[in-house]
Amino acid sequence: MNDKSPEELMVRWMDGEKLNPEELDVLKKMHAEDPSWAIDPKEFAPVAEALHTRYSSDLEVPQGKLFQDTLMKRVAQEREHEQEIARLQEKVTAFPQRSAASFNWAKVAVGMAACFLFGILVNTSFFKRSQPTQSQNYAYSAPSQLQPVVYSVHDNLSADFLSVDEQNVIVIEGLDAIPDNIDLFALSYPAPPSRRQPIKVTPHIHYPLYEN
Amino acid sequence: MKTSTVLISSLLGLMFSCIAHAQADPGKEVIGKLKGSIVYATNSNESSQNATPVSGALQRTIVANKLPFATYYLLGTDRQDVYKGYPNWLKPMRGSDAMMLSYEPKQTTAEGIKVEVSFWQNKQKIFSTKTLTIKPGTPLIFTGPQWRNGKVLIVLELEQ
Repeated sequence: MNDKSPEELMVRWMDGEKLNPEELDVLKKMHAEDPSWAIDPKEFAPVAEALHTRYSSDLEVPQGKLFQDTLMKRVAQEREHEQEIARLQEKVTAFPQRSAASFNWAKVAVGMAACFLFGILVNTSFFKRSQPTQSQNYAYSAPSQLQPVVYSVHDNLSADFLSVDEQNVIVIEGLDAIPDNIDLFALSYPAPPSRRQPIKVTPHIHYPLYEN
Repeated sequence: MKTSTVLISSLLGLMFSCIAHAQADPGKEVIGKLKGSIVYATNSNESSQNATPVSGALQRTIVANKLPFATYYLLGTDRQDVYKGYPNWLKPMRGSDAMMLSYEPKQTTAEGIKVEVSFWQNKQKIFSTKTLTIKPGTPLIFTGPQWRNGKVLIVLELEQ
């Protein structure tokens, strides 16, 4: 056994063994560092006697230190082995989840890419002929202009500046004519005192332009 | 008693905060006033008791642009504020929704106001313009639909 270890030294001191000056210095240092070591060995004298009477030295494990070291080594090996198994088990259990998750993401990404490509194809080529063009939806006319002046959902509408320089008169062609039987003078404002009340189009007049 | 006082003060605080918030809305700033007019332009001699000949800047613009009509009658006029961040409506024919204008300011420049104008007939949008600059003293005229022996003109003027 290693007699120089602090624990062993403490045990020998508690057993009442006479220590040499060097060993006593080590004990003093231990007491100084940790007051809990400062135990009166007389307190443990009865216990030590009882233990010595019950257990003879013959029953001690031969080469106890070697046995202890070997035992601790085996314990450490067992622990390391268990930890390694645990790590492997963790990897094995985590692998299918990770692979499944990555597989789902791949599916989502592939699906999105497919939808994106399909949308581009639809907009560009597949249904190009049946897709209404801007000119079909928004009729505009600007023969002398690069940009349209007026936007409309009516196909037959056209518009242009009367004078490109002035640009304050816009000629719009293609609007449905207002029926002659509608009296815009009667709708005009300010109305004469006799007609201050709002005047609405009479219901018997057929006015298809204003019917939605 | 204390509870009612706290409740009333909370409501007043909420009301004042709403008013303050409404006042702080920069979009409600008035940046000008637009006048919308409906004019009947014709070469015939037809007239009406309600017909009012055009005058002022509109008349000058008509002459300057040599519009091909002999007579111009004002059928209706409406004036509305131009809000910095909100669209607004002009209803020159006060008696009906036959012809209306909506406008949305886009930018204020040194020359005037850039707006997008839409023309509506009986609550149906007929056309919208690209962003146009309306200058004070220079009306913007649209030649609108045919009526009887002439055309209906839609006129927008920025008032100073």
